[in-house]
Amino acid sequence: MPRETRGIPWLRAVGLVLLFGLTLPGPGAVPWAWSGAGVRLRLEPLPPESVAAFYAARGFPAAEAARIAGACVLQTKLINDSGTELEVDLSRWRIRVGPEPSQPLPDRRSWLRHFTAAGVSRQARIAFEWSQFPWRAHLEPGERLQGMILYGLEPGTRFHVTAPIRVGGRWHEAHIEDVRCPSRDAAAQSKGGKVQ
Amino acid sequence: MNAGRRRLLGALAWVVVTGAVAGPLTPVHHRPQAPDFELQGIDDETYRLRDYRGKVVVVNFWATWCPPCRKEMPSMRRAWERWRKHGIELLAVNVGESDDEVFAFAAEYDLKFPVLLDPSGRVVRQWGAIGLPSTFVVSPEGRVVYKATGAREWDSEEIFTLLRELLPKENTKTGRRARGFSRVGSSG
Repeated sequence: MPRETRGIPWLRAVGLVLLFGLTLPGPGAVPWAWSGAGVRLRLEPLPPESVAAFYAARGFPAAEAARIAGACVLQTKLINDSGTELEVDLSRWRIRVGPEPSQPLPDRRSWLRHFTAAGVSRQARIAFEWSQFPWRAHLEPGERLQGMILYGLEPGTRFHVTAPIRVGGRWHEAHIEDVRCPSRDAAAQSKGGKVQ
Repeated sequence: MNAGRRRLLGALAWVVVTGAVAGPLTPVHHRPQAPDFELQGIDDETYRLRDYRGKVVVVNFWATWCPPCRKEMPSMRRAWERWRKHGIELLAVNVGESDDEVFAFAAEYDLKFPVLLDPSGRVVRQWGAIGLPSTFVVSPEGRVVYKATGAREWDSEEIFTLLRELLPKENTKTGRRARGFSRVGSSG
């Protein structure tokens, strides 16, 4: 039986445009990068309102979408131009805020457990899972990956990332200094608009 | 340069980064057996991978909210128009979305090839995909021979050549002679 074609819900369109069309760092909001051993790693701030709109469009209740958006979300891109295999395991990554001891990234499974307990739909949870940078990945030469990482820090926090990456069987440590969690104010300023 | 123009240039740069092609297809070592699946299509048909044995099958995992997935769909549609004339099949498996959403997307992009639904994400996990889009090429023997993580220009000549090389040899003079030699050899 033929089905009626529905248009894209406006919320989804807005979320996609905000997240993937307007998420570029505005003037003054520069992405952070490291390169070495033929590997390029790049972290880009995602404005909280864009992240919230994206997840709301994927079926997250507004409060949960806002919770994700406030968790210091950075788009992470990894490009393997090393000519050999690459492995990445986020459980080895460490973040450090000022003089405090370094800490691992927040466990992604705890987010998923929380969403389940909060009654977030399976469809939304799957979208969350697949929009994240893979927790463990193996990249062949020439492959690239991108996805979000939730650093779990307060908006505006400055921190240091240490990211071990195994290239051709040998570990290399990417260090990225003075990364800053996106904040609503900064995002609004960079767009010349006001916070909604 | 004003802020708006800078942002526009920045946007274009971002598109280039995410849309860049990371080489044609990555060969899969050891060529593992492709995990079988049985999934519902948006056309209400049931699709089983095992029914495609003897053919080259391109299995694409994607989602409507994934920008690189959206980006590669037009080239996939064009590629399929060519591939199907050569017996190369395409199964596009949506990950975790409702059939209404996927149906609307397929209509918007005018997709004519089979679009399947993996609502729980079980199948995409079985295939070991690490991101979306992820695409796997299955040989006529049912083995995974190539993979692609991220978007590709699927209608490229380079990819078509790789896929065509996997097709069973046609019943040409060369093919008959080769089989003949094989029979002679085995009987001798």
